[in-house]
Amino acid sequence: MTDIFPLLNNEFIYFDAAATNLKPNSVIEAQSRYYTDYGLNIGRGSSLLNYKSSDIIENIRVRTAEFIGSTNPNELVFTSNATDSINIVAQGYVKNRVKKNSNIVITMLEHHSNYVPWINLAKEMDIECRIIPLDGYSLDYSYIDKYIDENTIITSVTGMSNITGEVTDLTPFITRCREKGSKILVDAAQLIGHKRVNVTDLDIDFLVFSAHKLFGPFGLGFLYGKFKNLEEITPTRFGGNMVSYINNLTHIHYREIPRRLESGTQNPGAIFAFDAVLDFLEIYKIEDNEKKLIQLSSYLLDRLKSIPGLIIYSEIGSIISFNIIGVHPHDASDFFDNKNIVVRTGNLCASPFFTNLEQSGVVRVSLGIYNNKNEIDRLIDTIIEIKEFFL
Amino acid sequence: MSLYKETLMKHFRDPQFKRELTNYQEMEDGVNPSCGDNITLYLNKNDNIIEEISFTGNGCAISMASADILCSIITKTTDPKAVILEFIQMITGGDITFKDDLEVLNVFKEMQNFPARRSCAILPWKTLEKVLS
Repeated sequence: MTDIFPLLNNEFIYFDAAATNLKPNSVIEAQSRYYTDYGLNIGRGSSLLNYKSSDIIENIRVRTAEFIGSTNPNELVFTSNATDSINIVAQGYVKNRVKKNSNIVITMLEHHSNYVPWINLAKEMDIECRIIPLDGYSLDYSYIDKYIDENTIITSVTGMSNITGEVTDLTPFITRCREKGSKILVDAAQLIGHKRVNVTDLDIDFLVFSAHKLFGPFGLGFLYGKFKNLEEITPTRFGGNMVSYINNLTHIHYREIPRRLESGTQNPGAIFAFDAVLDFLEIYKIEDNEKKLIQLSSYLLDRLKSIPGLIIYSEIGSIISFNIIGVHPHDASDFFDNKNIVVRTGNLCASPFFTNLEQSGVVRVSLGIYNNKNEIDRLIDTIIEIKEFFL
Repeated sequence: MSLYKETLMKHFRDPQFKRELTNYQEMEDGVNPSCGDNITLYLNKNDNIIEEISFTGNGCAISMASADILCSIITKTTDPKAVILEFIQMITGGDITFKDDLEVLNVFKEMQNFPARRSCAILPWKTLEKVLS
């Protein structure tokens, strides 16, 4: 795997795929190749090279839309990350639909990206933001019918928890949204690397994700929306490239969707590298990767369960969070770091989950396709060492 | 692990100042948003001289030991603001060695090699700085 993922040459064990997945050489090289072979801005200029650069990027838009099951590339907006995408929907779409009794529905499993924009909007517009609670460490689905009603403008739900690895059963959410007229936004930031998502089959209104959690570059995100929904978004950022022309110095004619929502200079190097991600996923298929990760996580979970004095927050899945009773996660982190093991500790940018449980944080092990059993054994040895030191 | 020296662990396991003062003039909260560690300082002071201090809170060994050690030395100093400044300078790489009554603070010099944990050690000191500012 060091041939494929150059960062692994640093001889650390990387258990933080949920924060960002390592980048394959092919992706890193593609980003560099854009600047070497094309290098120009897109959507501007009239040279042949300008034209080629823009054409390549638009083809990647087509390919990315197909990747998530959309046949209309204009339903895919390039953004800077999943958070950016959610903010566009919150401020450009939902805000315009607020009425006196409106509400927004989210869940207790959300990370801050899919929490803060909604809480902020609810406060700004003086409406209710309902948070579907947990049953133990999992979503309590019995609240769906209670919380999503005819006044719900949007239901925004994670596709996979970055804390517990729980994959959300989207069907009851979407069914209820269709019954009551709520739009559904799926935050696929975590899910996208683990499960193929088909927005058409699932009838999803908005889907957001970032490239970097899918072996891709930083600084690139995506907003999928049904075309009609995207057309109804008011731009929240204004400037160059989104405008077709201005007459009488004040009358601004905006470009068509999706360009209307892509103001300013885009990140063509990252988009070009994402094409290499899609190539990579044709060889290392998401479904096959996930099968391997589930087998590995089963081994991890068995070994963790064999150690007394742990609280484990996850069932089977490639993200396992736990606490060593009596040891603060950040103290544990030093010991892992000392062994060149990279785990994530703390509140994982998902403090509502922890506030609810009255915990300050966890140790999270999130597996990637580059991990193996031997690495898990070293993790377990370190946990035993931590326990011996602190307890 | 070189960071978790015996002195530090003693303050973490058996803190002498982890309690709420029965009568206090001032109280200040501090939170470390990255990990959720929280601390509350209780103190009585005369001008900027601290006469009595204690703390409560939840956090890692480093932050809790740092709070206990802070409480153990700060009443003995005539210029607590200067000590706070020097402590933070030391943690962040400054070439500072404490002597005499403040010698125990040298246990944190190792933090220079653990930049990810600096905010843990600094949390109680920043909280005290708020009280004195």
